[in-house]
Amino acid sequence: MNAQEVIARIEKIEALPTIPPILRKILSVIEDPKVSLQKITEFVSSDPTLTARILKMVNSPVYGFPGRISSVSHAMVILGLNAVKGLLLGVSVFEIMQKNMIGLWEHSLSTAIFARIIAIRKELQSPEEISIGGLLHDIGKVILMMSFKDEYLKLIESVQEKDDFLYEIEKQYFGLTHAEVGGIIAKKWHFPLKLIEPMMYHHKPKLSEKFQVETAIVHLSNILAMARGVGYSGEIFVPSVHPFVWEILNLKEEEILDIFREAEEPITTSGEIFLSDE
Amino acid sequence: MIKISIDKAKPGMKIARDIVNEAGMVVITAGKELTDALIEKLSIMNIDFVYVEGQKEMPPKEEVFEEIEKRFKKATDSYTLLIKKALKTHIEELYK
Repeated sequence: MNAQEVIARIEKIEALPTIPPILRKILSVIEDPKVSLQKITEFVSSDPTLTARILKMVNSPVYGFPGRISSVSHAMVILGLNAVKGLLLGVSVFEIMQKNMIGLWEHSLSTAIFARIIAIRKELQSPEEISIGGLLHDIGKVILMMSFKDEYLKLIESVQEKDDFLYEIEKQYFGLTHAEVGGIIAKKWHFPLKLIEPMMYHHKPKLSEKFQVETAIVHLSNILAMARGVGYSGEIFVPSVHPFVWEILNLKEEEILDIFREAEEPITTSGEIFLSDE
Repeated sequence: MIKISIDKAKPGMKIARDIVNEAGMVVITAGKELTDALIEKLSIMNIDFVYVEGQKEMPPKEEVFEEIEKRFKKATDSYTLLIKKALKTHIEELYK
């Protein structure tokens, strides 16, 4: 398949009949570049499932804010507009992940948790935003699944037999990877570059321009999540860490061990976070 | 002590840590046994997780290490192998 055709199809994602109505509504809200925090707050508050999910997320060990956040408006202020847009999308693709790729949600959450822990260690200003980058890094897989379901399922199945990385197989078949698909869609949805770069370049961190540290963190977090083996990303092998990322983050073995220790409880308890709403 | 989500809670489990509501008040004290009525009450109160006594169910250690070897099959560079080494130390600690 040629990359142009793939891009043309994924750019029309909102028109797909398989897209859940709630996601369609969320997309129309976040796609508006002028949307305000207040408008998003009203939108979330009008939907009880969304409200419950946002509150569960911000009160979960994924974030670890002190004290309990019990109102949507409070959550929105703490997180800020960009993180809120991303989080909304993250919680609304949960069902699609659960239905189509069991384990992708757990993998995404684990990546988000590792990203936040590393961002805090590296004293970055907004660990929440980087964690959202982790949560959404594989959203391109969801997009490919919705746009090319049969083909994509076959590719995922072929990973074992081809003994290769899924992203390499995607590149051969579609002419681009889920990371690029995620980046393209994030641009279309007017996400900030701080989220686009980590999503787009989490397999090619050296291509990031403005947000190299953020991209490096999501790259490493994805690898740590796969290494720990919580959830399933479609890959069966842990990819190698890019030497460039190592240079930027400069973590020692003892620090990596500490990161695994710190992540253990949140990653093993967060997967079921939304199961009680159903 | 293990942390479980409320939908996994079953009557007879013993609460290991005080359960606190949104206002910060203790609603169930540690040591109490869960009943159907209590579990129902907790879900109404929007409590998602509780700490109960017991040990986390973990797969046999050998199996976990075997899986790690398989997952890292393609890793040959020193950085990725460093992660593997740290991970193995971490898993060892979990089984102590």
